[in-house]
Amino acid sequence: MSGKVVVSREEILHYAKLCKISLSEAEVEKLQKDVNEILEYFNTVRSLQLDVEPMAYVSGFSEVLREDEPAETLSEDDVFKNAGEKDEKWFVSGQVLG
Amino acid sequence: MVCVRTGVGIDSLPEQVLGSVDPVERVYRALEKIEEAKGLNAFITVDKEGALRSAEELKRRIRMGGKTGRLAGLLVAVKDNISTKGLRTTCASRMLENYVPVYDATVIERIRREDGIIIGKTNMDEFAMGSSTETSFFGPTKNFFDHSRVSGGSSGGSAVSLATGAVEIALGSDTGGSIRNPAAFNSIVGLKPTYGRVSRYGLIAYASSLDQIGPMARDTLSTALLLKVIAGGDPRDLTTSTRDPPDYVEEATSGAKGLRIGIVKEGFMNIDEKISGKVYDAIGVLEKTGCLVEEVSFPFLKYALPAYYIIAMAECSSNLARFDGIRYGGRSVEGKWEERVVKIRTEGFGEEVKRRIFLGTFVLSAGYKEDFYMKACRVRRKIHDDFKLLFKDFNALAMPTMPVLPWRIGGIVSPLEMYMMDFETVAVNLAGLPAVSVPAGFVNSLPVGLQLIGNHFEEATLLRLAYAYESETRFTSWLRSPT
Repeated sequence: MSGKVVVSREEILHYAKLCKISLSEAEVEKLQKDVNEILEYFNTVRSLQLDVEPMAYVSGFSEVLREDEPAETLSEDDVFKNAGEKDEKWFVSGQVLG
Repeated sequence: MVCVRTGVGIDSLPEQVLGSVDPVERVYRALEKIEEAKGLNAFITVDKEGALRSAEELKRRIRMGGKTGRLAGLLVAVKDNISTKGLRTTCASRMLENYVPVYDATVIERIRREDGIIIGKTNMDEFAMGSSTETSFFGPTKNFFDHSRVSGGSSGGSAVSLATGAVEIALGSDTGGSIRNPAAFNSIVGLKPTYGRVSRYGLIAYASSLDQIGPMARDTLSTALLLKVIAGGDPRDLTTSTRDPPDYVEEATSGAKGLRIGIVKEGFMNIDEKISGKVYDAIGVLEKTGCLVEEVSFPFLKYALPAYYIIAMAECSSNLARFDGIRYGGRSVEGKWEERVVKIRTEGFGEEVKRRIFLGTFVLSAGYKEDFYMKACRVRRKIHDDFKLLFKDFNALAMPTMPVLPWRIGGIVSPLEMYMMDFETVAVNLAGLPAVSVPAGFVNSLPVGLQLIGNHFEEATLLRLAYAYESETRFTSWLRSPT
């Protein structure tokens, strides 16, 4: 639990792939150095023993529900206004499989 | 003295607000000021046409004797991560360089409804990830008092646009100090409201459980007025509180006598004595106005910073996954889906944003989530609970806003060292509390901020303190003659 976490070069490449970001050789090196320095600092929290429930957000509000009724929405023009590429009524994303 | 028409403290507003009631003329004067201060790089986009259109419409209405809103004629600068319909909103990122929102954020709707005139979108750290406005794709914003130094951040452009006198009020957002930090660094007022006090609908998310939009101004009553306009429940942001906001302007002027302030000892550790001296002096002023002051200890505070960064990065990695260039922010690129997305994200995000997405992905990954993210959430609970205990005895807590003076642009190279600059501000966001930064004087001609932290939904208490302090110090005059 309190052992040091050190991220290897392979892990940098693996996580970068998950983030959908490609890195140059120099960037891999710099990121690895920065990440390991920052994780060492994060270790101060990691090694704490705390007997409290985790808090993901500050509550104070309960579940809010509304009627499921149709309401005004964006026009088709607006929906496509900022699209990278479109084909009539479709966003073009490039081939996903294969 | 409060202006009957706008509710703004007129003795603290610049002459041109009083000298002219013609909103069109006021827009032209603001544009001149923006042009004069262009070198400070406070604005990413100036909306001359839009501002003139709003001003002309308002002028017609005034002439016809029609009803005008609470912000009638006031010029507003808006941080560039808040969506403005038809007006480019970049988040200071190449990713959104040409993004034009098709709807207004709730806060923008409310400002327009009250006849505030939006003059432009202000510079910031890319996606609000930074403490100095240096990570902007459009270059850094410069400090109002020393152009070789940082403006603070991430709402640096909003703070500087106020300091230059171009606008009367501005919107910022605060995830870990991004309103308070640049307020302190440019000797203005910045208030981070309680989480849920102001709608986040239309705010481009960085870390959703921490983000909060808030008001900035040169003086307390303008801050209070803008907060009153933007606060309140919103069916489009279900984390907003439905309890009615009080009349903050009226509340602010009700005096601070008898309010109990706890000075958080740990907030003064390891910082320059000259800075802590200024902050103690400012607290002394509050004591003189009749506040009761006592030192308190918050030993767990030191864990807030690492916990904050773990949580903020985790949420950022999730929030920024949406930027694939397909629905918005995209360019037409060749290739299969994976290649396109990687290319767009690699070219679109800057170094700090990539680092945070990476670390966020890491701390949420199988094997590490329990050790890092969940542990940070436990620290968050403890910080929240410790604050709540202190608020049983105190109406507000006092600390410096920033542990250092504005640094030279490019002066901090290590990311970790930069994160440390948020030491005084992040605990507030973890606990969802409101906090305000007010000017506390100068060290070596550079501004220092006093931070006052309140209990949940106690913005009015903070504004009472800020106004009592302003009435004693007249700090708005410091912008013209730093002391």
